[in-house]
Amino acid sequence: MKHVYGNCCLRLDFSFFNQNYMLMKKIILFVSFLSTFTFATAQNRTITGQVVDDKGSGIANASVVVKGTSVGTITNANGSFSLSVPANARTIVVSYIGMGEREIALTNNNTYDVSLSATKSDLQEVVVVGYGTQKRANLTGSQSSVKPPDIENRPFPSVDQMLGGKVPGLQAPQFTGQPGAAQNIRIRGTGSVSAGANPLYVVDGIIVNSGDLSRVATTANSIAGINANDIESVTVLKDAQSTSIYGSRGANGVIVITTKKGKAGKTKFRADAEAGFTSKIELPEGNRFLNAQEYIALLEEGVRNSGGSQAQVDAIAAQYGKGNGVDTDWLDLVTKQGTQQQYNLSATGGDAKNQFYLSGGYFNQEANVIGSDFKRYSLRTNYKHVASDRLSFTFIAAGSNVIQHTPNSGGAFANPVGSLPFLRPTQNPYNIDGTLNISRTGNNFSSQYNPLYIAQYNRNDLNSTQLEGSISGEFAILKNLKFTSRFGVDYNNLEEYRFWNQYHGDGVSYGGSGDAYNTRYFNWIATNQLDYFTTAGRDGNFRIDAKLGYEAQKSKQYNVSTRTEGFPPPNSLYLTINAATVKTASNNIADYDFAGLYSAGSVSYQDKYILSGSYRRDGSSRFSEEKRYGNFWSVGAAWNADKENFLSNVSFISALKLRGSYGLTGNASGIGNYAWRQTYGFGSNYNGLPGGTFNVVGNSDLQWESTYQGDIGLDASFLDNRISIIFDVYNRLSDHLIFADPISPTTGFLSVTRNIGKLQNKGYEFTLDATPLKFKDFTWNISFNITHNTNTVKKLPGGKDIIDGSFILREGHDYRTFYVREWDGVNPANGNPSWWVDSSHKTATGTYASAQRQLIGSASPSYFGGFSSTFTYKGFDLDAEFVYNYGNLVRDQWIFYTIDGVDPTSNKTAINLQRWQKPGDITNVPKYVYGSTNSSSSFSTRFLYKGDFIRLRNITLGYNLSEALSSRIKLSSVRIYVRGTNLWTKTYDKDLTLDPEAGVNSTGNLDVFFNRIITAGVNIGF
Amino acid sequence: MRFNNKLFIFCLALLQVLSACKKEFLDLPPYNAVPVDQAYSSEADMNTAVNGLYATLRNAATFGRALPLKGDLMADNVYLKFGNSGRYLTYRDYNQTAANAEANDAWNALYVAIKNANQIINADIASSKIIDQIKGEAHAVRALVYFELLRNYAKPYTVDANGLGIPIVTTFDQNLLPPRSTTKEVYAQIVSDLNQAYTLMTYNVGQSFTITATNSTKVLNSSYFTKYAAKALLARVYQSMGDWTNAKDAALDVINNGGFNLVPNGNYVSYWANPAPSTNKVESIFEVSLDNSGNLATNALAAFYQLVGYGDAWVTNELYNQYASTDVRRQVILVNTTVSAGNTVYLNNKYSNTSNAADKDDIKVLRYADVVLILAEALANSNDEPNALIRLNSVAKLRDQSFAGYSSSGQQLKNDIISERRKEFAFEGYRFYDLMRLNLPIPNHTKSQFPTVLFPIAADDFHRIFPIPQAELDVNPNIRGQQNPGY
Repeated sequence: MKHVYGNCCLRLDFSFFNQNYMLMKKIILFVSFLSTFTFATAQNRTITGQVVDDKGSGIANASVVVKGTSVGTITNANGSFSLSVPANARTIVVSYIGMGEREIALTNNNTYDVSLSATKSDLQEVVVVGYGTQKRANLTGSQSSVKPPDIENRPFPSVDQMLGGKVPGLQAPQFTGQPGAAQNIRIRGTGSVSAGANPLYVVDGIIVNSGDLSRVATTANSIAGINANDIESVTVLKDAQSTSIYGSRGANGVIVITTKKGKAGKTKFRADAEAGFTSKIELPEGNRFLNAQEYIALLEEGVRNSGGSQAQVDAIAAQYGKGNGVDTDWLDLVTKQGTQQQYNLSATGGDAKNQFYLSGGYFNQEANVIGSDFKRYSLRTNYKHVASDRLSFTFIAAGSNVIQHTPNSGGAFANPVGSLPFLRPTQNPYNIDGTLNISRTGNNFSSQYNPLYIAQYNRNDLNSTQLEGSISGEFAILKNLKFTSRFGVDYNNLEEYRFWNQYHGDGVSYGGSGDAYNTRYFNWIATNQLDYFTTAGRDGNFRIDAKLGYEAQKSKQYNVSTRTEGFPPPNSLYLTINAATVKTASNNIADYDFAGLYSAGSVSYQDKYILSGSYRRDGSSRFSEEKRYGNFWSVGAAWNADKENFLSNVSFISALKLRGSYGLTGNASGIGNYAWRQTYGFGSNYNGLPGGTFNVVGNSDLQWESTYQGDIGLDASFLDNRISIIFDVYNRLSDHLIFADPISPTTGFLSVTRNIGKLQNKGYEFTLDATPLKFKDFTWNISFNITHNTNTVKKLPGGKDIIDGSFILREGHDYRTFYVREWDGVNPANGNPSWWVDSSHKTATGTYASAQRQLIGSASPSYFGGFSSTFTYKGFDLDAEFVYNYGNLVRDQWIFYTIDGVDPTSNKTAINLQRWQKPGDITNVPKYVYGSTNSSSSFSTRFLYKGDFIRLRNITLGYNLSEALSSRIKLSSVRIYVRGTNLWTKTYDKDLTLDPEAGVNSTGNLDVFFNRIITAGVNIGF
Repeated sequence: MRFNNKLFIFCLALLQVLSACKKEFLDLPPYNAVPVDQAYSSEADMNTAVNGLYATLRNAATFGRALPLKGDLMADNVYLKFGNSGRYLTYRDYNQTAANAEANDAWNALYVAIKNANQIINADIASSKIIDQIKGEAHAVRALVYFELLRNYAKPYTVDANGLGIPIVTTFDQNLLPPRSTTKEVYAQIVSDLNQAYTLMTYNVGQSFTITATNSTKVLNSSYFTKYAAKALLARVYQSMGDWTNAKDAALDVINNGGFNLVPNGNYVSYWANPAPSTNKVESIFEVSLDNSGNLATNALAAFYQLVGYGDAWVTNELYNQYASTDVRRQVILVNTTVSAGNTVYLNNKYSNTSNAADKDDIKVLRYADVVLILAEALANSNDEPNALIRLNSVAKLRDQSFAGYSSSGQQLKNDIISERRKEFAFEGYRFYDLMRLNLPIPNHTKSQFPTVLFPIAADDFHRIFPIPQAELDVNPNIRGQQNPGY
């Protein structure tokens, strides 16, 4: 795409202004001269003071302005100011972005010391909203923000992994310890069944392509390309009022990321360095696997129990390696201790006309499993030029390069974590001569591969380059009418390479294979917006804000995919240039466009009563002409009760606001760019000649998924902001849900994509921030949040159940309800497994197929959230962050192979040692029968566990050097800290065989274990 | 200065707004597909469509692996080795439920092939020799797929001709919810399709036609259906029905007019080693072609047999011992003493091209030897034992030059034909279906070999027939009460 700027398109006639410029200048001068007279009749005076934060240190560059005028100044480096104010000035407004705003009534006094504090529900805070900013007091919507102290210098590469437990309503379940992994986020429950359920990500006004953009790698995350240290705020928009302005894509919530900008003033530098170690998190007891002796003993018993003679027992035991002297600890071999380091350097500064922010960063983490690591280099610049008092430009350019290695997961034979269940302790990864064993016969690697060989010679490389760039201009047409135009680009280039070596593993039958996949996303977005505000009525009691804008976006994906086979002998030559045969070489393009008109407005009376609304009309290329456009709207209201006269004397209430909103948003993510079209495609080639088939059944009635959401909230703070609470009750109804509606396979298709159903999420969120203890040198802050969400499937096509693997969608139930046979236990008389036939539990059966599946529990938690506790004493601080989750069940799906004798060739867990052995034994583990066909290890409630847990996500002990000490070494601040991550977990089910944090579907998939990380670091400001 | 800045912003804004305002901005067609109604308009289109149809058969859940493997593994020719990859355990253990993956996947993939065949057959395009050939091929493929569905999901015709068969679908309708037609009705559809195919197709193996529009010539090798391939399939269909008169007639037409020959002994090994389809009318009548770009990689039938792939399926000792030491067919069975310590293992080597980067083993669907033996069986069942013996020995004595030939009669002759078929068509997916249509038990079904663990299967074991997939039952109310007994 080409855009021509500068000497462009139109020639407007500005000659009128040109000729009359001198006259205009004279008129303006005269008017201002006159006004000086008007003001000069009254007396000015000078007031001075200092603006400090809650620790008592001065805040530089805070703004002090006479309310209702443009008379003001900014504080110096110490936070001190001096301002000449007119005699009739009544109030000054002191503010600093991110720390709120305070109004101080002017008295006869000439000195004013003002303290600003950064607390979560400070209603004077200026917060980010969709397409702009607003005072929190005037918000009618529900949103939360996360600030740098909670996201800087964390041992996670992407900021979306740091939000869990910090934002009420937001669940961020992790599933793997792979650094750079995708992160599913659910805001107020899951709002879609098979379209996307993740929120929209907006970075500096650009709606970016987010999530896992890779095509070959096990997992990846484009948000990991953003250095979290460059982020000024992450605002999570949750209800209809805040998200509806994003219209067609805001149904799952919106995460607005704003990066750091320059600040006028002396140039400030910041250097951060951190280093530490990663290791595997503690695994539950049920995950222990047998050693060689235990394994063989169990095996022999199994063969005997299957009716084998002693000769057969001996023969099979020999086959499995009895007495071969090998006792391999696979867990030890595939896990390791890794390193973690990050370094960041930034500079910010400028003056009234130019402000800049520059930064560079390096992040490197090795996870606890072989072959899993992540490295990122990042660079950012944000430059703002104020050309005049009406015109300013901002230019942002940021880039990063991520290099990631990711092992396979799940049942892939090459998955190193799969060694635990699928490789036996009697198998030896080494030959007698010390070389790696790659034999495929006998008691060797005939199915699951030798993980050490695979880790050494296979490659799973991802090299991802990401660029964010934008240029925007702000022009004040009038003092209260501003025009902003922005053109932004979000560019992702992923180079993936997968090499299967020619000696052992998946590559053997091809003589080695190399797959090189390049994927490039070029996404541009153009936004033009007018912002207007005015006051009306007596004393300017009414304030009206409005915005109107037009936005167009085009994202084009360009893929090149190649596959080669037949590699020469040297293991070191793994690039495709060396291969003998090219199997696939193809390129493809896919694209999508959105264009829409958006508007929002609010009216407030004395900052006490606020009414607001928004409307957006969007069109998208993802739908057919008949259904292409959608209308999205919201209304909201708020009442700042603390400003009422009847509450003005109640001193312990610092702020009290009641708010509500309702509106309609849409979802278009995750449904494919061309899904509505009925098409005939190619690639079914025969004898090397082109072949085509009718392969997409399409649906020209496909339309947006819609979400209607209502929210009522209460924000209150007490005792001078020492305690604050936020409480929200919400109800989210997701309608026209897109789903693959199954049709009879006899048609030749398995499903048609239709807008079939309704899903509801309702619940509440509660946040409490408090400072229970506050003394001169010692403070204790706590922060607690909890979300309760109930998800219910409201409507399915024809009211029929849809069975989705181990889950069932049934009207009236949670969408992730397990559909599973109920385990009754083991018959003590004969050791056979037994299941309940139905939910009445009257009859039990020993035949798996005779037991009916029931709706048991759900993979979604009922309660989740986080809490943190911070102690500060003089320069020390100790901060602990917990995340917790209650009410869901987790499933171990791979235990099918490792428990009982159903699959004799797999490894076995220690739970098998509790097996039934003689009549009368009471146990939950059936008789161990080699090669049994009684389905005892098939999915049933036997393998569902309580997923409740509390996890200490981070605990940090830090020390800040005092100002005096710092300045002695010519630095403005020095902080050193030690942090532990994932150090402690409490679980609630003693039978757990896997970590309870298992992703959005609460199903373990043999992923890289979570990392326990210990780091130490230093932050220096100068 | 200021004016240029204003101009700059104005231009920026205007350009953006203008570029996004066009209606075409939101109308983005895909880069790799065309609307369905434009896809069958010319000879070149139809040729591409029939290529797509054949490619659909090349699916690991159907002809590509699961069905030919089933024919040997569910019988007594092959067993799964110790330390196998966990695939097809239900074939070995006869314990599938309605949720069985193999039954589900095969059903779905076979109906996809039927959909593609229907699209070609129903294409509204003027007739010509080439169009007729292509439509004839589609009829034949449709018949083949229906036959495969019927003999996997329904009781054999010989056991219950009026029993439930499978749904017949002949046009595309996404709202279709068909019940099962009877076995008799489905056979009638198959026979009608094959007769139609025979009439429409005018080309035999080795002949070629040219599409004038693209000036491309297509040589009809054994990987495409041809006139006599349809007849050969018809012979097999009649054999399955126990209709010996029609089976005899069909087989004779192929033998007398098709111009095919049995592969001579000297070329037996090289015939199997050759991964390419042929035009010389030796042995191969129809096969599903796999080549260097269109293949199933490690999921091919060949990779399931070869040690260099999964190598999970090994030859039962009992089958190996059926072959005389002078039988040329032993030369495609490898004797291996290293892969299982202390044991002698027999490995199928009919498919040896897993590592061949240039071409891959094709799936032999119809072979001349089958037609000859069908004729033998038909004659034996029509009281023409002398001719039956001639036909039987033409294969048996060719394969084993020192064999004196069969001279049996009555039931023994029929048994001999069945055991000759077993030896001839080992590893090609025939054995199980022979035992099914004759309603015979499988006493030597093998679970493992070292030590030998047999798992005899009775003739009325309900697991011999695939369940109608749970997914079909869940969606289709008309078929819901028609599940096969036992599931």
